[in-house]
Amino acid sequence: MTRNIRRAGVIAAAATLPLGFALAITPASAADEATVSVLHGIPEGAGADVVDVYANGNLLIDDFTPGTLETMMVPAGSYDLAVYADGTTPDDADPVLSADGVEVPAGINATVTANLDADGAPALNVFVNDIESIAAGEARLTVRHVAAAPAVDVLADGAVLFANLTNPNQDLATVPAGDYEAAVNLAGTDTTAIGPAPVSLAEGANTIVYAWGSAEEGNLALATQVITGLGAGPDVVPAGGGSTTGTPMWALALAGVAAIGLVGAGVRLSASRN
Amino acid sequence: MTRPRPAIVVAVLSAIALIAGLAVIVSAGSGSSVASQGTRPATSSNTDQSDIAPQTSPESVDAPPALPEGVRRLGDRVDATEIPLRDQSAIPRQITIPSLGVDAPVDIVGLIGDGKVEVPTDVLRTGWYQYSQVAGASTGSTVVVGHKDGVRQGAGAFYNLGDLQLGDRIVVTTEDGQRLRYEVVARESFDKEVVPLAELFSGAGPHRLTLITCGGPFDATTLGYTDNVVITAVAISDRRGDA
Repeated sequence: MTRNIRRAGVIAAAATLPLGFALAITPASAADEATVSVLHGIPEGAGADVVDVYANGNLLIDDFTPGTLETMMVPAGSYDLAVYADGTTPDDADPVLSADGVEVPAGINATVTANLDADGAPALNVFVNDIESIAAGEARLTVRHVAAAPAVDVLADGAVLFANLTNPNQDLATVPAGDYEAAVNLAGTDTTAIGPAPVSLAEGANTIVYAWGSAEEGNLALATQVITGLGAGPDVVPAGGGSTTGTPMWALALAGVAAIGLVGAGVRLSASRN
Repeated sequence: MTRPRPAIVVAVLSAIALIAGLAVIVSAGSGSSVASQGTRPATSSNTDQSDIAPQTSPESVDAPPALPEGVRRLGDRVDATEIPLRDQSAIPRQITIPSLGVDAPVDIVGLIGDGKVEVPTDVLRTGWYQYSQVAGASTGSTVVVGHKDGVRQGAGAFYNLGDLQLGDRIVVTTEDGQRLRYEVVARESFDKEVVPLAELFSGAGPHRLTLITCGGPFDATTLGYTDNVVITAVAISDRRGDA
């Protein structure tokens, strides 16, 4: 299943998260809050090695470096996002990246990525994270192409799971929880662009894998974000063997043997009294 | 002068007394409900980042000065380049509970059919739920299950879990021989209809060891115990060397 991505773009442009999105509101979140993560997915040497992220003119993330992720609860609403080079502020400089009017509905769980587009230019993207309940023994895998690279295939244990994924899109699937060998190949080829690398997909979690970096610069890599606590859990733990009568059979058997012994003793006793 | 009772009556009365006595002993250990005590660590059911230490307050020591109004950080900044990879060497292989005289092997178990946790048929063996956390993980629940008893086998390794007291020690020996110590912080009994399995099995929240068996009254219509007895323990030593 592929979700459409709303791309914020380099030039301030309205970006809207799909309002029709079926919200899975987690019990702990307040009615008017949303969970927003921000991934610094621009590789080193691309002009954003240390940046500050502002929301509606207020500093949100300080000294943000490539390959790191921040998660925060924010009030639902509309946000103007701006990324400033280290040492500059809204008062004295223009942002290196910005997106105005990013609508964040209550209950959403979303990730904003600062990454390179397919042509290698810095961009901001907004992805909605799937936080629907996951059955016991299962894991959700989400893969996002946010690298300066052409279309790719995503493989798990040597088999193509997602084919022809392009920047800035994602694909996701529910798979059995466990350990996999992940690889990212150039689409339709056996040429591996990233990996193979082992990855554990935890039960009850949405493991989001980002392909980021630049093919040209030779720094393509994987980054991950794990959203836990989505598991429905098993239905039952049937951990009682038990018996058919309430008192375990083995205890009754023991009592029976003892009783037979007593009957014998009683008879002897009676005989001796007389 | 009273005549002595017939010997057979004496014997039968003695046998009944013995059986009743045994039944009382047995039910005291198994049939009656286990009194709940202690508190499980709160599991954050919110979607938080899992690969960092559990967050106990909105502001971490590393937080920069004042966030915008209404905004709060969830956990610390994460190095997203660290790909999650389970530490296979930390899979539980033996469980020891000194206060109960338990020293049992831990098998690896999964699910049978839809949502039913597999429990080792040998009641003297326990099972680590393979989709739960390994021992000593940074977050989430390490779940070990075991039969309370078996019709032919008698009492299981987890027969007396309901007797554990807060503060009792549990030692988990891992695949690579490390011994991780845990301390009981909660002992609970739930009717199976309402046992909070999603929470007990959750990979979110503070790391904890969760032991599950059955208990409460035996239900002759379902041929099973009505309750799950749940022990929650938290780690009390670093995962380094012998505990």
